[in-house]
Amino acid sequence: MKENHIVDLLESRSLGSLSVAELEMVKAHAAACPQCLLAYQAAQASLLLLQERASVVVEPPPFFQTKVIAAIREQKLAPKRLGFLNVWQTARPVIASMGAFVAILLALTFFMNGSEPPTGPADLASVNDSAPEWVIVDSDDVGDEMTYSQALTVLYDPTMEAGDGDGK
Amino acid sequence: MTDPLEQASDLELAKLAQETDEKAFAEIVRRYSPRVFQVASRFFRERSQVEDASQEVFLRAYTHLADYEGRGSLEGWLTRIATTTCLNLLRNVQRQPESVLAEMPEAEADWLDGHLAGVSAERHRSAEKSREAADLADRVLGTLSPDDRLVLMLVDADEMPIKDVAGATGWSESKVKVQAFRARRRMREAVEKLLAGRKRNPSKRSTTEVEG
Repeated sequence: MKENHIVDLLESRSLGSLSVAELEMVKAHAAACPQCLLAYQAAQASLLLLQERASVVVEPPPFFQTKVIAAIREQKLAPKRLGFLNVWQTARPVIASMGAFVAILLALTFFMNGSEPPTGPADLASVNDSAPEWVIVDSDDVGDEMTYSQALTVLYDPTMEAGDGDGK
Repeated sequence: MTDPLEQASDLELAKLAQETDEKAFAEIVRRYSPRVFQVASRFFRERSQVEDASQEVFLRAYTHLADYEGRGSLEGWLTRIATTTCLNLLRNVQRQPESVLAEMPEAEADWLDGHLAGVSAERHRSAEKSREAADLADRVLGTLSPDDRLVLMLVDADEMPIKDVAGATGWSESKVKVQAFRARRRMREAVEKLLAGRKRNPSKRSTTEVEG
């Protein structure tokens, strides 16, 4: 026997795969070597334990295939949900940046308009919505035919009499 | 009247299933669920765990059906998927610390005592003793890595040829041999500690009737 006695043999091969001659040799050595006896007993017990464990087999339950097919159908639906989530997750930064861009544009529009003097009738009206121009422009009586200059004439021409809007 | 799918060959079933024929795949499940359950039973003990693992195996098989070209047997292909799937599932389960071996129930200790006392194999293999041995085996295997556990179950317990184990696991034959060598050492050392513990405490030895 070598230094490792029978240990190398016990580790390199399963006890069940040893030939009768090899097994006899192992037993003879173990009987004379207390250290190897424990190793041999442990190898023997290990093999028995593994064999007993291997004899435990769970049988498939009835209708197992139905359960598997149901799980497959469920799995087929799952990727669609995941796909939608993936699209949303991919699009989310784009949508967020678009929102931020629109917000910046609105802010810029607001500040740029705020810094310019009012020019048109709408701007004037926004300064004072009770001004005569606002009343005229907003009036239903004026109609679409009256231009801005006509409205000014109606308001400020001293030659025209009040209440005689058609100049008669 | 017999279902024509029951008469179909594995390859025909696989081709039909690849064309999303659910009935053909259900027939594959019916045909090979005992084999898949057998593989899953090597890794898990609880019925619910074995069933969940087996279902996972068939789900993976279904999604990878296009990979099956019919070169090898369908059973071999499913066995490989079952082995790798169960191994991955087992890797997610936390390994038991070695200290659990010290908390051995009396029934399992009795089994070891019987072994030390040289109880005959027949008596050692009574139904009750078998259950105790399987429990003890789980306790010991639970302290080993999933790879160690797999290789011990396939090579030593099932006596599968190294080539077949390599095929089922996707490992090289030399890796299987090295893994088996190391796993045997670790299992033997764990059992040696248990046996040594029983020898040191003869007062706790079981009163089970033993043969001389």
